[in-house]
Amino acid sequence: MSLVTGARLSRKQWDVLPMPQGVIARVEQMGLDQGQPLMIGGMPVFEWAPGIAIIDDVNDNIDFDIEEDDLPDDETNDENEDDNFQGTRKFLPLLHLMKTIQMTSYITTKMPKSTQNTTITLTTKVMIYCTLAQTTVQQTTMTMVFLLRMLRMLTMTMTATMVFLLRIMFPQNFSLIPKNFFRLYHQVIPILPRNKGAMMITQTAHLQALLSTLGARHVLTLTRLHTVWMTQLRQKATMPKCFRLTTMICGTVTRILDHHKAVMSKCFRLPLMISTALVAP
Amino acid sequence: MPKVLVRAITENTVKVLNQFPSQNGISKNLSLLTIMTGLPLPDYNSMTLELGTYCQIYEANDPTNTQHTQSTAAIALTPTGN
Repeated sequence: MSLVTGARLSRKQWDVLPMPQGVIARVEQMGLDQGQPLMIGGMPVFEWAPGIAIIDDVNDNIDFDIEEDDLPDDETNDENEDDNFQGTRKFLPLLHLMKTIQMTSYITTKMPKSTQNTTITLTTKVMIYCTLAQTTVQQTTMTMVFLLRMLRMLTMTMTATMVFLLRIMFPQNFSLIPKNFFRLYHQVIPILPRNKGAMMITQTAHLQALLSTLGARHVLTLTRLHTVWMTQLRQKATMPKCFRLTTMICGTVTRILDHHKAVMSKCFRLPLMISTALVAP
Repeated sequence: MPKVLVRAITENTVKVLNQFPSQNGISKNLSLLTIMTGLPLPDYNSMTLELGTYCQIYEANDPTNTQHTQSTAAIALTPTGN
């Protein structure tokens, strides 16, 4: 394959050379020019058929090796059975919805912008519902992957920094955020475009992190924010607009946290201390 | 990833898999490639270049002393079999 034209050539004489970074960048650029999708995880996406994803069963990751000592008494079991049943029933519609969204995620990239916006709206709502309903780690992670595929042009540096700081300041509440959430960061970061000089994630992931950290008290405010965001996105669904909206949402969310001023000041005190220590002779 | 490269990777993978006998195939000694085309066992002369290797290929020009480049940067795909 010629690196100049991209055409397929057939030659009988060649010299093997070490692979420079410029060639890798050129091949990536050719893929982008041809409208090829980014490969999540650095490998092709395997599907049963075009548009039909291979989705793991929800119960795949359940650990069945429970020791008998860990099981509660029978009386407690009887009391909890009803609650568990009710909880499972509550999640069932969500599970179906999540699966439907995952199935459509492979198709929406080829859809027009307006359709994508509708799907994004739906997914963001589902994310908020999932947070309220405390859905499982696996479903949340899969939704995150879907969102990243949909909105991979949005900056993540602020989100990563914010999550890191919040993790320090709210260790007890931060345990609510699934471990896979952080694993996802590490999986996604290497495959994102580096020309932006930044790691990437969606605004929704940002809101999800804040929501999980601070509790569900700010759901109404965040929902209102989301409505404003989606209205503007429908009007001009361009990527520069998205960048500006991200900044706007981050600023607004920060304003929501006014009553956490003391905590936030501690957040900013830490990098200040680090920078001071580094600068000090 | 460019379409040409994706197509070549798929083609190369299928070709390599067919060069070896299948576990559930009709023969344990003959590969699918040999059965279908009559070609012998894997020819290592056709495996000198690995897929994805960066190389400079030489253009078949007549002898000339112009300033034009006589080689092109390219990525190795699959052997054509010629």
